[in-house]
Amino acid sequence: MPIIINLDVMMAKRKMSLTELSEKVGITMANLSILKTGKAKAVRLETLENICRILDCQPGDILEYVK
Amino acid sequence: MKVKINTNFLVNSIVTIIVILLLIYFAVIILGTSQSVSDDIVYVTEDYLKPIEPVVSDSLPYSEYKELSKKAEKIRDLKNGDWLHFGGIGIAEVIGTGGAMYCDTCTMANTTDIPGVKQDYILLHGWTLKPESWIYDDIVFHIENGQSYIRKTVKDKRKYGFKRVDVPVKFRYSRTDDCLMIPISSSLKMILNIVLGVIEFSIFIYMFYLIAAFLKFIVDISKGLPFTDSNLRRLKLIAVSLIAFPIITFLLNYVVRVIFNNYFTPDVAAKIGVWGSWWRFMITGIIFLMLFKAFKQGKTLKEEQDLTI
Repeated sequence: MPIIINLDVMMAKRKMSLTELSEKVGITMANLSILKTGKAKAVRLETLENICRILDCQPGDILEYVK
Repeated sequence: MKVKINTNFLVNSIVTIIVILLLIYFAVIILGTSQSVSDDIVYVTEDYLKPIEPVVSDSLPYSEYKELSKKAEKIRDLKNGDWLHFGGIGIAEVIGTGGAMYCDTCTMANTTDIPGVKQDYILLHGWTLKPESWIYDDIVFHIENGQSYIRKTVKDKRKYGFKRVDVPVKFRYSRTDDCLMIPISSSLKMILNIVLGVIEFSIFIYMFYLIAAFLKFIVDISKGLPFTDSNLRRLKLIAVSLIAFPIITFLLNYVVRVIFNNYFTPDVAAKIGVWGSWWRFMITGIIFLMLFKAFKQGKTLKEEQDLTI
């Protein structure tokens, strides 16, 4: 898929572990790893909002479109 | 090119077709009753052929009459090689083996022992004698001096009427099973029994497998896992088997027809009873096919739902 999820980059910048993020955002580790590995088919706006709030970033920092 | 069919249009056209068919059905019933036999058909009443059964006098007391006619029937079955019919192995409604007692000259004077010799047969369950129609009397099968005949009505060209004739045939007919029989030797019957037995056993196992698949499907649903790959596979297998079963049986009957082609005459017809029960399998199969389609859709939706974070 040409949409790349740069969640790990953002997490590294904020020095946040997967466990911590999953606890703060309120989604399971399994779902978060699906998102991280790019297997996800869709992201709820609510989830995106939570991630952006916790990581203090813009959606564009996490999602990237490559041709 | 993909043809788009509007659901409303489809339903409307099906309803219209059903209404038209119903109208035709009633029209045939109403108009059909006015038909009559045309005058130029002259029925030949005199019978040149001697009667198949000895005529039992109807002036006898009832019990005696009943006894005598039963005895005559028994002797006829013996002569036809169809008495004490014992079954063998068979694939349902296609082909099977069997045997019966045959005796040409027995008079059944002694009722204590079983008269006649054992004759083995291949039974063709899908084929029988043509049923009687409104113009032709029924076809009667009988064996005289070891030769099979059918007595039937044919057009008499010289007299412009109809007459009964005896036509020699190669097959035999079972009154008990209402099917054609081909006489075979006992060694051939043994080989056939083994082959048919293996096939029947595999069909049996396959049926159990299908039932088990259906039960597993129900268990999976009750566990809350309806949209899985294995369930889809099970539904597809059940649907395909149910739809294929009547089609394969139908085709196999014609394969049998081709194999025993030189035994068949125009007086042999496919058994209506066999054809008649098949729509149940087809309908059940179509319902399962629809279930399969619905579950397939469900599986796609579930996958999408699961991968939405």
